[in-house]
Amino acid sequence: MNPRVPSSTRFDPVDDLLLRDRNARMVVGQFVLDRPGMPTVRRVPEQLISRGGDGLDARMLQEAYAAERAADPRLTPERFLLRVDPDSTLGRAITALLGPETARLLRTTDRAEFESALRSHYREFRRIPPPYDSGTTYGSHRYLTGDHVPLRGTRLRVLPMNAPTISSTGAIQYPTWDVARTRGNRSVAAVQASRVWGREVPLDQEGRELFETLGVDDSLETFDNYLDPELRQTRVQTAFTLSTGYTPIYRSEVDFPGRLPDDKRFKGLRYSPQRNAQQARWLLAARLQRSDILDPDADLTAIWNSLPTRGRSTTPTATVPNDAFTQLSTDQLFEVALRLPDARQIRLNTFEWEHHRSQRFVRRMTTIIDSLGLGEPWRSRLTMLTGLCEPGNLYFVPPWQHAMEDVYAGGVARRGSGAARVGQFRPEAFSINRARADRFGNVLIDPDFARHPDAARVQDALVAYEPREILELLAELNDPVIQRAVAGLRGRDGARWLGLARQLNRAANTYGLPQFLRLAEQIP
Amino acid sequence: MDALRGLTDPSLEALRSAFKGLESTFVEIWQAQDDPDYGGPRWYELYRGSPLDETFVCIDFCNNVLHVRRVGREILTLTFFPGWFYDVITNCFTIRGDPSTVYVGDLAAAVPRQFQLFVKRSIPEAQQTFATSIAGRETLVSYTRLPFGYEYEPARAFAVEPMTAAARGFSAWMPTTEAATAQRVHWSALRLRLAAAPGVELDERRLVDEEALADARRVYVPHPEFRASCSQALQLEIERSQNIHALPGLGAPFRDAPLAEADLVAGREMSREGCALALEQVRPDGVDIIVTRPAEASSTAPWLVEAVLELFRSAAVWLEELLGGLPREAPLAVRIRLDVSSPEDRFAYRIQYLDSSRNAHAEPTTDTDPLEPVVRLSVKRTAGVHVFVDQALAEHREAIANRTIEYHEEVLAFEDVPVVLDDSNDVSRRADLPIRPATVGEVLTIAYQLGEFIPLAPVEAFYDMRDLASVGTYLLYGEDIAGEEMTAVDAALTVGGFILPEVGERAVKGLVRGVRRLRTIGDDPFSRLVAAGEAVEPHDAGFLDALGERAVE
Repeated sequence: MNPRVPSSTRFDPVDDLLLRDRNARMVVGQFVLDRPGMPTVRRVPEQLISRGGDGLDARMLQEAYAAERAADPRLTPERFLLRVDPDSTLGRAITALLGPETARLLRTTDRAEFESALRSHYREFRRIPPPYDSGTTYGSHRYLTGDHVPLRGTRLRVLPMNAPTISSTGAIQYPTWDVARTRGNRSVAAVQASRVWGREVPLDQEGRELFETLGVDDSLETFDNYLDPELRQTRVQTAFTLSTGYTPIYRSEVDFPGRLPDDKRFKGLRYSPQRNAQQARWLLAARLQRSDILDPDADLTAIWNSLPTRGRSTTPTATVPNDAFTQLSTDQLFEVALRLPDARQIRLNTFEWEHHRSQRFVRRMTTIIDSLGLGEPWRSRLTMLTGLCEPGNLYFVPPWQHAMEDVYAGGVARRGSGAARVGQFRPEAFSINRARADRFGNVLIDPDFARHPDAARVQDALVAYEPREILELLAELNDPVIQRAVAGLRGRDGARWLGLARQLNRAANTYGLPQFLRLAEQIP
Repeated sequence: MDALRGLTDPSLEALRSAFKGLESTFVEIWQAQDDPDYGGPRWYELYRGSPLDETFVCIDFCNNVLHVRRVGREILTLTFFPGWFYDVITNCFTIRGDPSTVYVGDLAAAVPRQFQLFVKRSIPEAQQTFATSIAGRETLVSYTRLPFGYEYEPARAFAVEPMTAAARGFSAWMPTTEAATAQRVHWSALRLRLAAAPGVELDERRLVDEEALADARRVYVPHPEFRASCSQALQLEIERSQNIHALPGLGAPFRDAPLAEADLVAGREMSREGCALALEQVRPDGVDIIVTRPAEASSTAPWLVEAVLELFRSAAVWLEELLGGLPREAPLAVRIRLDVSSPEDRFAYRIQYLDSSRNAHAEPTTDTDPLEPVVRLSVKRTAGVHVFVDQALAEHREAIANRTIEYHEEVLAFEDVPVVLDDSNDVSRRADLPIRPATVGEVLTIAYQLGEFIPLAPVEAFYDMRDLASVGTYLLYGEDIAGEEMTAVDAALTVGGFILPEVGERAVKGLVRGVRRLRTIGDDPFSRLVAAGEAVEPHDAGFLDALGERAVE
């Protein structure tokens, strides 16, 4: 036993703090204490549905559902929630559970109603936490039942992550990940902005209009975010995120000529001229208090030339940690905004959205869909069934936490070794099993390891899926259009398909789904 | 620890014979160690097989092992070895060496455990039919749900940053030079939640006897240069849900137990002024039903405050051996309980509201008789299910209970207990509600639970603070703020107290982030509460004074 550890002392700093010092308390989730008489809870319909996906948790709801279902096997829990008369006792209970706005979001198929419910929902988020990191949900059951809200032509910029996108032909599609991420970021910023400004934030404005509505200034004061204490943004950063949907910065550095290529400070940071130009514009607009800089067609050169301080601006003395843009002088910002060749390069990494294991499966699915040569609506339907953009699966995390949550994603996401990322942020956590950490760093992140014959078998996102989701997925893949396309698969594509088929069949087997749903494990 | 020492050392006879019985399991575990199918993806675990396979092994970063074997749809065997035990066995009987350099905070409590779930009786609602569209044609698909499932979470790291001068002095074991800068890292124990439908037998088997464990503890030497600590006693939860839909799949990621907050909210929605109120709360081992007579006052708040005050007071009084009484409107807590490990038990129940002529209604009614029962509780159950009223101190509790609740029950064989009670299969036989004397702890718990229903901001704030603190300490050490062992169910219930349960996972994540930034702030929550209390009605100020006094003690 280590001599430093008196055997009678328990390892409990928190207990010590709380018991020894009555004045001490933890401040975790301060919002809880800041709510005079406000309800703490907003649910979304998914949260009333039980883990198996085929029932409801509350006894009252489940009994009513089971009774109706005996007569109609087509009834799903989502449809049931939708169908209950809002004025009945059960309906009022559902409204009370979901909160009035979510209940409206659930029940409506009218655009104006949907928009107004969403607005008042975001008004509420000033005091209570949104149901999900990315705000609220559109309700994916709408993709199955077809009860869509006609969102074509909506002016709203802040929408649930899984709300549909409208293709050029007018078809309703499940959003791609890029669209969903942007929406999630906007939602985070919208909630944060309403708390920072202490007012309702317009959900349909961006750019100059938003800048003027909010009266953005360039103050360096930063605000704690409700989602993560590490995300501290200034007003202008919050407004920038809300307007553009870029993910908030986690860390950034100004690159300089002649730096060593292995300079540790720049490890894992990326350079995106497009984003930098946007962000520089926002900071300029705030610093100079000129909203016209944010017009997409603003003549930045003319504005720059009209400044009396042009060429003589000095670098600021006070800056915001993590935000390298605030270290630049006005002239340097104009260079970045205009993307001049000798502009300062700012390298940064951002917060990230962590998928609960579904993303890798989705990637596999989309690869297979691509190899089948099928486009829409198959991509849309299959990504929906695999839950790519479901807010319930997604968490907004700093990169180190993402690496700890999901080492694989951390390593594979084109940003070097996951182990290195983890080590960089929290070496102590991993000092306890150095051999394992080394092995992960060198072996498990190695692409060769992913080609281990059994990797696909175990890398099994399906364990996170409910039997009903597997059923829907199998039903979809049994479609003759897909089956015809499969018949043409050869080589690696064929092997990939068979791997998926085997995996799904195994899940179907385990959960006892009927035989006729199984996929053929040979390509004819 | 010398490699292969266990094979020769005569003092390890007990461990050696215990290992003989475990060898086949360990061979599979070592396969996962030597040749894992996959590493990660959550917390650097090693895997062999998937939870959907017949055999599945997970070794987490602190070397805790979860070994699962499933035989068809009938038998599920889960074996847990704490990391230190795995290290001892591995180092004593093989030449592998991957001991973790972690300080095990709960060596005595961390023991190997094995559970077996065995389907003894099947239940009718396991059969599911869904309509789905295959090739554009609507097709009915039937399947039978697995009557068991489990969720687990491997060890995960929490980093606690020492922040303030006040916080710096607290750790006895950390050298002061490091305290200013170093992070405290603590790895949580492996969490496992077993869930079973009625009719599934759940056994725990003794895997390693005390002598062998003593041997193992003697051999175990923690690494001298540990920099992180961990808990390794299995955080086990067992659920016996009457609702088969609430069961998780196999090896699903940990989610907070679905809570009955939904039932509470639904019940509260049904409550109307001047009506009796029955709130239910489903639990893994049964259900709690809290019944109150219609209050005379117009608002529900005062009587609840009164009741809670009274319970607090009477608890104190009782402690001094002076019996106190309860107002007639004080809520009654009826509990339906079953043994979570027994496959023989199930129940169905139904709550109806009675009007003044004793007619039953599904919804609360204002037409009640102050002297007659206001709620009818009907239960069909097997013999092992217990229904009783917690006697919260009052002298005439029995009379109050039977004057408030008209209780009907029928004891049946397992197969005859219905899924749902309704008009077609109602119970006509009246029975008396048994009363069980409550312990002091239970009385305080009841008072505490009732307090949570008080819709007053200051009282809620009090509960929230306590909840948050408990969740924080639970996450780190598996205990609540009072240092009492707290299960994850408790934690989930606690989280559920202020944040919706299904989002609990998210909330917990948020708290985890918060816990990394433990801070102390020098204000006194109790004085805040008292100050807040002054703003509310004088009626409630007494309650807050009482809190203030408690704080001063």
